[in-house]
Amino acid sequence: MSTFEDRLWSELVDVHGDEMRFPPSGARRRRPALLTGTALAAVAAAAAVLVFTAGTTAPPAYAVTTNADGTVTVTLNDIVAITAVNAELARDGVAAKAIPITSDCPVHGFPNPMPAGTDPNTYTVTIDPRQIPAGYTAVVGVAQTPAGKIELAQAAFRSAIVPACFNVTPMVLVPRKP
Amino acid sequence: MSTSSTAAVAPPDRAVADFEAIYRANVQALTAFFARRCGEPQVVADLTSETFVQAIGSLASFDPRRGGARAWLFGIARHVYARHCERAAHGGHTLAALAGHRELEEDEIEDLADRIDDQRAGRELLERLTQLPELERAALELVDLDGLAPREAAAALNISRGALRVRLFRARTRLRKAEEPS
Repeated sequence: MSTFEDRLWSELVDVHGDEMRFPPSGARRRRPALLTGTALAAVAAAAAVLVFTAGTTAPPAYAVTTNADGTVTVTLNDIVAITAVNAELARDGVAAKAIPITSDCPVHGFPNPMPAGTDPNTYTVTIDPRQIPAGYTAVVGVAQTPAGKIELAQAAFRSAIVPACFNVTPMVLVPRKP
Repeated sequence: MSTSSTAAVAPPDRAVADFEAIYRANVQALTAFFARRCGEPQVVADLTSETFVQAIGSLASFDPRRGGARAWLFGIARHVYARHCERAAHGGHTLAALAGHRELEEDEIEDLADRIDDQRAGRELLERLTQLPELERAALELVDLDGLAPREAAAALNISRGALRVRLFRARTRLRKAEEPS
């Protein structure tokens, strides 16, 4: 995102932030619809994307942890914490970004899966910043099920500008070569 | 573990986060839309800004079932540009009247000037399209230049998908014929 666009956004929030009110859910279908767990699972199965579901006890909204081996573990339990997670990653100098997966996002497709570095038993995604090529960003897809569960899909490195969201609904799933 | 940060985030800014997702996903396309029409970085910035200010003001009527956020924003952008042209035609001080006016920094001017240059081919195509009826021209531009899906373009132009398909077909046919050697 360029300087112009970042500054414009800051000004819009400063001057008009209080006016950013979507209509009530009755009038509006709902906020940008997030993928269902089934749909995300289908994508994950076909593209070998690793998916983790947040725990059911009331955990912190998010956690960004730098491990002793230099890897960074991201835990996200509340969709509103995406911005906070990304700010934390940026502060830590990690070229990674959590991106919401929505069914009305105009950016179609989802990056290919990023290899390894995850632990499904802890419902987190662990990134090794040393594996991220210069100029690339590691993308962590974030979806919320209708039941409110957060699902993280660790995806491939992306070299172009990272979009604000991804839409995988109409994605044509092609089995990966072994 | 060497360092760790955790936090419980309050939810009241969800609407801002939702709108930011819409903004980030569309601001570059809308900037390009205006860069294709205007040669002045300040004008491109003002019209882009004005589009989002109007979008915020009309969030209450936003219905994603009618083509989605991109269609909605492009519909607003078209009105913003039409109003800008009307004011310019009447010799009014267009920029001062816009709610989204902000003086640009030097680096922003440079950035937007580059984007205006990038749209040179698009501007040339727009000029070739002046021979087409307005609705056909708009349909072709939204789909072929701005990258909207046909359903989004139909929503932005407030016409049915069938009508959009007809406009696109006619526009492409006219263009093809115009470019055939006589």
